[in-house]
Amino acid sequence: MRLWLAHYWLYIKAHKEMEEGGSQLVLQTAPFDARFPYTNQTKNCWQNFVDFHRCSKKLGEEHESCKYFKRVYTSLCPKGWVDNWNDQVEAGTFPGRI
Amino acid sequence: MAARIVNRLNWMSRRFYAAAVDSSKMTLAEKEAAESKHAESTMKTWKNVSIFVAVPAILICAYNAWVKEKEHHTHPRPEFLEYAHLRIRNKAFPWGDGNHSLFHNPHANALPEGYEDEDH
Amino acid sequence: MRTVLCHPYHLVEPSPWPCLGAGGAFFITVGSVMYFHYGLVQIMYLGVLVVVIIMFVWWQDVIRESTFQGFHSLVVKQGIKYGMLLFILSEVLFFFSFFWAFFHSSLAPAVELGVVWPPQGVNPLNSFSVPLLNTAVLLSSGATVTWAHHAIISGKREEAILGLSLTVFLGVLFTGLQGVEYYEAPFTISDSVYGSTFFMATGFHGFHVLIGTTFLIICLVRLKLNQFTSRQHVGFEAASWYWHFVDVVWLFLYLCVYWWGS
Repeated sequence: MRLWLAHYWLYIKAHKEMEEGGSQLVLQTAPFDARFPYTNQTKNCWQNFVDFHRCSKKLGEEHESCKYFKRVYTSLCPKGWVDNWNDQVEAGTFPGRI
Repeated sequence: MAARIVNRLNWMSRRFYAAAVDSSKMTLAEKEAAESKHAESTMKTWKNVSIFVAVPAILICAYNAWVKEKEHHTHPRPEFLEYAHLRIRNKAFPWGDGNHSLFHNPHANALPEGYEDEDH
Repeated sequence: MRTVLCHPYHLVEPSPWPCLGAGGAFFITVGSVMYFHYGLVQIMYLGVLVVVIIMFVWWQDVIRESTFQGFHSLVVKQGIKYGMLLFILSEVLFFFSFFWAFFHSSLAPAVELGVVWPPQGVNPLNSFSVPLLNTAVLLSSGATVTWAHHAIISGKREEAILGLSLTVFLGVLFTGLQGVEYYEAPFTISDSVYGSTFFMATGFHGFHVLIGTTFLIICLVRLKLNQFTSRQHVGFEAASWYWHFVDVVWLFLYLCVYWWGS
């Protein structure tokens, strides 16, 4: 219920902004990924986080394709997980291979 | 189901021992003697398997394990990394100081704080 | 005293052992909880002591009834065989649950482990080293126990003692090698779900090897005391069934946990 309210609030806010300023705010979330067809998106979130870091290592964080991975994992992952994983990456104890 | 399995086992052993001779015209003593004789030949088979298959197999595997372990001990142990999923201590072990696992090996097993000794 | 039986069944005398044994089991359960939660070990020891004593006196009764009083007719033996078979079936299901836990955790490794099996940072044991030797040892013990069994059937006592002694020796050797592996293992039970499932499954298997070895030692003692005949040796048969079961569990453990799991 609370989640739904939050979404609804964001939706109203975006529309208001668009009506007022005519700004081009585009609302989007992670697209459907055939590798993760089920409701549980944990590994989708994980895969995009790992892909972002692999991408950044190769092309740099600011590269457009890396930004895509970041957008997807930011949409999918709970913030706590991302914070935790970022700490682990920094400490060199992240369990994924980057 | 269980009844069928037990019956089957009994049937198998009966068939097994009676297979060599026609048992219908024998007395109980004769049957027992025949069974005993058959069991003796089966015993010899398994004795031979034990001596000529099992013993060499164990020796070969023992030699193989010896070589592999010797080779393995020349490698340095992996560096200690504080992974969150390793060395979990949600609750103290009920023995000792509560921080060492039951088969703790100071050389191979790190504590949450790291290895206890230097690698050698 | 002469007893005339008009039926093949064994009507047992009233016995205090089932009730006292249940009491001992209760003490083990409560004692284990006390040990795990408060480090209080005495109640568990008391329970183990009671159960071990009951095992001795209860099976002493059974041996007296079967070997010395001759109450174990074909029908009674059939019943005992059912009992043993169903007991082993329940043990199969017991181990099934550990394999289930193992496959649950390993077939789709969680993100906490790095989505890999073995988990990131876990170095499994080399399955072609000591575990392969253990497989050879346990399979060989299956051959020697069959040797002993057929020696008993053909009335060759000395051969039976030799075959059974070798089986016991191989059982002890297996336990020793597993002990070395446990000590040398670079991971512990608290190293992710890999350690938990590994030590849970192989630990309970090792415990069953100890039970099976004890069972075989008892059979060896009874063999030396001339308590088995070529027709009357259900105790030995039960021990050998149990030993084969332990053997098969190891085979699956080796293939799934040691080999595939590494």
